[in-house]
Parts: sequence; structure tokens; C-alpha cells
Amino acid sequence: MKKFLIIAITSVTLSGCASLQEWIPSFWDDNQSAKIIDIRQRAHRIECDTVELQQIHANGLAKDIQWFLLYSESKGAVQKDVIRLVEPMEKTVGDWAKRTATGEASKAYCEIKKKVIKVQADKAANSVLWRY
Amino acid sequence: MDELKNLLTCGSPWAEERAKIAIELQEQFVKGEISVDERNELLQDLINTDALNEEADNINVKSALIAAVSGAMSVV
Repeated sequence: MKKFLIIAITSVTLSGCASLQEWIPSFWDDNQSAKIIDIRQRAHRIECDTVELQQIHANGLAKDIQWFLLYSESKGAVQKDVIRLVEPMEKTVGDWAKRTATGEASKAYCEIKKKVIKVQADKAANSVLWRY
Repeated sequence: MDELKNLLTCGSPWAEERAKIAIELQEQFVKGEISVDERNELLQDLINTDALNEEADNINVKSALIAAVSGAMSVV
């Protein structure tokens, strides 16, 4: 009975900590703020004229997004909100980068992709920079 | 398509912007400028953007709450 109580209390405490971590927001960070503006700037400067040009832009963006995510992961558990925020961009840009690697990215596709990435980057930058 | 066009004047800049992208996407697909694969990927991107938007709103609300609590504490 005693063992059961210890296990039950430990489980409740640990799950409580996990949900508490989900609730605690991340705070202002100079490096994240600078990097999200780099990402936003890259998004606004995407060029779609050729697949080679698209590839350069897609890979550059993918690299900056990877930097942001790795930095946030290394910083610790309280960064989960900004990781969740930027992960959809990783998917959007990752798909584009894969397509440019195989040469299957049309100009019209790239022009729409650019619009989506700009919307995502603008929104993400707003949230990262408005943190307390 | 009509539902998307209605969203263009719904008053929410965020929804209007995405509706504009979705309409352009459909038009380019009909013209044959983008492939089925490309269209499906871009539609998925718009869905993923919802997840980003939701998280952004959560962060903004939490930040506003912390700012308000900190402000109240400095008054006391």
C-alpha cells in the first residue's frame, strides 16, 4: 500500500511538472530575436526565377530555421512554445528545399510558397519579439 | 471557392491573407501553372500555418498576462 502511494504521488507530481512546463512561457532572448528577423528578412527576399536560385534561398532559410530550433532545444525545456511556433516553418521550407533539390519546383509554386513563408515568418517574428 | 471569396472581406487580416493565397493557388492550378503535387503541398502549408498561428496567439496571450502581472506587482 505504501509503495502504491509513493508511485501514485510521484506520478502525479511528475505529470504536474510536465504540464506546468507546458504552461510556463519562454522569455525574451537576444539570439532568438536576431535569428527570427534573419529568417523574416530571408523570407521577404526569396527569388523564384530559376530552380537553382530557389535552391539557394530554400537552403539558406532551412539553415537559419535549424539554427533557431537547435539553439532553442539546447536552451532547455521552457523553450517548447517557440519550438512549436517555428516547427511548421521547418516543414514548409523543408518541403520546398527537397523539391528544389530534384528540380521539380515551378516558378508559380515558388511565388505562392514565398507568400506562405512570409506570412509564417511575420507572425512568428511578432510573437518572438513581443515576449516579456 | 465562394466560401474563400467571402473570407476576403471577413475583417480578419490573418484570414483574409490566407484566403487570398488559397484563391491564387486554385487559380494557378486551374491554369496548369502548378502540378497536383505542388498544389497539395501548398494546401498542407496553409494548414500548418494554422498551427503556427495558434501557437503565436498562445505566446502573445501569455506574454500579455506576464506583463500585466508584473505591472500590478510593481504598483503594490
